[in-house]
Amino acid sequence: MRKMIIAAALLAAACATAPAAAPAPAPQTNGGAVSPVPAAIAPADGTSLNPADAPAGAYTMDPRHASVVWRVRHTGLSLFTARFDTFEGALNFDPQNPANSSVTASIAANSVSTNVVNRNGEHAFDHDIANTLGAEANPNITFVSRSIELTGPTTGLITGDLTLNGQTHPATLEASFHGGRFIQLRGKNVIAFSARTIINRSQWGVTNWALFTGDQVEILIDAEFIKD
Amino acid sequence: MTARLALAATAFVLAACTPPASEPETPPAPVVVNAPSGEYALDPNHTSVTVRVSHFGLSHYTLRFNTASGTLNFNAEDPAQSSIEASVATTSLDTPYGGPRDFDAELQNSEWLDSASFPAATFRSTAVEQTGPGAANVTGDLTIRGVTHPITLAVTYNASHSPHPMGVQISLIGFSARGTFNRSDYGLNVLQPTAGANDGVSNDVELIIEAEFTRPIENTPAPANTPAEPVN
Repeated sequence: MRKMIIAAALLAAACATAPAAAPAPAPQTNGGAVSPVPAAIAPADGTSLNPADAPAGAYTMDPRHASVVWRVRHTGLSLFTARFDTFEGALNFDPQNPANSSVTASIAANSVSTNVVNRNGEHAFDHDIANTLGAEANPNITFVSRSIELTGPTTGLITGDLTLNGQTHPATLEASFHGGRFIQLRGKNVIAFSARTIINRSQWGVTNWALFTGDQVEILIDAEFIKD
Repeated sequence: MTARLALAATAFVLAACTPPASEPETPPAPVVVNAPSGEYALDPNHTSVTVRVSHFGLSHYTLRFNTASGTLNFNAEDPAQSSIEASVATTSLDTPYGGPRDFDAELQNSEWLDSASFPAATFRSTAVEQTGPGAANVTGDLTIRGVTHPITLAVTYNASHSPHPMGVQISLIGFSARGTFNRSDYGLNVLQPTAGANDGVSNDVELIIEAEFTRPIENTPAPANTPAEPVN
């Protein structure tokens, strides 16, 4: 029945294309069901879903229209949901052969942002998490793509090196092209992607609070890139 | 189960349809309810209210509200008889962007949420329809900017504990919920897309909610602080 709910949610979102990417493991359930984020909002007129319509070259992530959300299971009860708020990204886009594209991203480890405040109204927990990530010694979390495998007209698997807590291991992002368009206001072309991955944080030596917090961390990125 | 959920999650990322028939035919995990009936308070430290809209038909602009409160009347024997009231502080709107332009303030101004006049957005359930083990459609009145319309949230029961796994004498229940509404219903009409152009910000607004609720276990001393849980 849960499957039906998920399917209904997907159908309700008026989705268009067929998925092809290999599924990543879901966050560990620890006795509870994992609720997926709802299906994406369908693109509509004015935006081209054909990557070949976008100009080739260097793009820079638009920090005003981007988010880096992460979710981790809390004692099977819920997915604790937080963000990183300071990041930058650069994309070299090859519209004719998107597999030849490359992307780099850097996230400030101390830009952890939760909605948790302590009794004094301070975001102390954000700092606790940043410390757990080794933010002092390794202020940047970085991703450098190494290879891209296309899985569909607008989807691909981006494999690269994820450096976190000073340790580098491969990670694969399930990426989806959300479309591109020329935006008159900017006088620039803009293309948009979302990307998702699940990492086992212990692999990067991040093991705090393991008693009640899952090892698997889901990272959800949604970003616009502006043509340089 | 894991594979099927992974497929569903993948489908979200791909903005694509996963026909149910293509999903592995594994039986659903049994739903175990450990928590007793009663009145539960929303745990603000383990609750997130995420909102997504489509920006220019490109990115899924994602923001959140930091402050939520609520009361769940949980009926463990007949979950469809449960009810919930919840409130979100519109003044707690929090966008990721921390640069020179203050989007948080902008989206609270009188053209948008008008947080000064309407500091709370509320939800009050009117009907719970169980759609499966651990799943229900919760219909209720969503009030934004003083305007009320019905909305149906697809709710998933995640788990419950009694007592808390660390031994604290409280019962806990966790849910996930999601829903969609048209912001025009609530008079939120700034930057509506012009016909056929898909510019501006989508009329469709997605709600993504993770929520935990707690209740003291009766006939036990009031719980002390829980040092093991940094968030509590």
